[in-house]
Amino acid sequence: MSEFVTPSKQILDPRVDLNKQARGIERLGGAKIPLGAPGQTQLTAGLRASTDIIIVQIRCTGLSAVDTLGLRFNGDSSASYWNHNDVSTAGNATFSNENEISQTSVRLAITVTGLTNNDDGGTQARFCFGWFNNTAGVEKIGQWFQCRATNSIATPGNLYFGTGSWVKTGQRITSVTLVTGGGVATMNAGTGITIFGKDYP
Amino acid sequence: MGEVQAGKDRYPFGPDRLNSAAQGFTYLGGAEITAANANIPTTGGVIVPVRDLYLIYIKIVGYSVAGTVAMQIGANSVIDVGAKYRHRNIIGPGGNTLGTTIFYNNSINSTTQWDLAYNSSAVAQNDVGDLNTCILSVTISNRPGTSKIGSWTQARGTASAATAGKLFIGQGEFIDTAAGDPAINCFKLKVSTGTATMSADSGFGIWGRNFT
Repeated sequence: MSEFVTPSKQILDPRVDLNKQARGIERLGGAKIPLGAPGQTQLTAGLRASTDIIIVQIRCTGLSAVDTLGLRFNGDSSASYWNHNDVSTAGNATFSNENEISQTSVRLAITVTGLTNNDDGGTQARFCFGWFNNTAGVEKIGQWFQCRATNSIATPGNLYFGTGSWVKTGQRITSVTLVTGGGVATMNAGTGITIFGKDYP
Repeated sequence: MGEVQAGKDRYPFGPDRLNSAAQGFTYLGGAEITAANANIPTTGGVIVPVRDLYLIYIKIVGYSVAGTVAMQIGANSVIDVGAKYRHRNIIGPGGNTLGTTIFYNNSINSTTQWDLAYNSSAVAQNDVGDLNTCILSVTISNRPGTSKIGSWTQARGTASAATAGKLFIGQGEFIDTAAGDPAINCFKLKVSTGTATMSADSGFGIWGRNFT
């Protein structure tokens, strides 16, 4: 039985609507550190298409040492990224701000100690949701929210949000790599990344 | 060709899942400009089926001169340009600073659009936009009989790995009490003010979902 659908079948079979414009946000790729596997400092997902926008969801089950997470695109580890992260730690009505320039990844949370909202990154599990412009000819600007576990019902968590960019105009994003910000800590087994996207209109 | 078995649907985007309670957000429509223009679409609005909740992603490739983007919406397939909108935008500083963030606030009432970014030269965090590329996400609640509330975030580039950008978040409301606050189904993007045009390939997509 053929898996291929002929043009006439596409018209006759109402289930077959692969018209690009009718599709929702499609999954483009993903990667996960298998349960039981050793921790990793990097996790790369290739994309099966390079769409106008991409949406990234990250589940990190924890880190081997205090650190934060970052994203690299197309394997580019040159100093071609900036990020701006704000955090409000539990009990503080204010936010603390960290702007980092000429980075080797887009870092997804603040990692500065000594501020009002002192935050070293921690080792706990975290979840992050972000989206990036993936238009040819301009930088790849994005934004994200992150939450991090405290492992205690008696300890409220911090609030995180940020923006950042991969300042490479000549490429569209074809792969996404999740990295630890310092490159030393490893991400625990079960950590994963999944990427969705959509072309306009 | 054999029947498609439950759980083995080889056509995950096909109509057999449309209007299904199991379906996620459905792509309802969108627009992308092929040449520089101040409005997307260039005439009228993008008309979509009514849903309880809309999710919109906007990409702005750039502007011809300093600009920010705004949105107009409407019911019954007509964009509403009346003074039925209010919006509030907050901005966090960019540059290369480190420390406690002071957010600046700009609230506009009884206006004719939602400004989707802080847009004011009147207060300390002076920002009326620039030429750089942006991406935005917008969510809108669409219950007939109540005002339409939306929230959004924006990220804007700096065109330099050596310059960190600003943070933008905002919210707005569209209030049409006189008409009974009908469900909206029409969307349009425009530059907020001035003579700026959006660069080619700028566009937006609209997804929707009913709650049940």
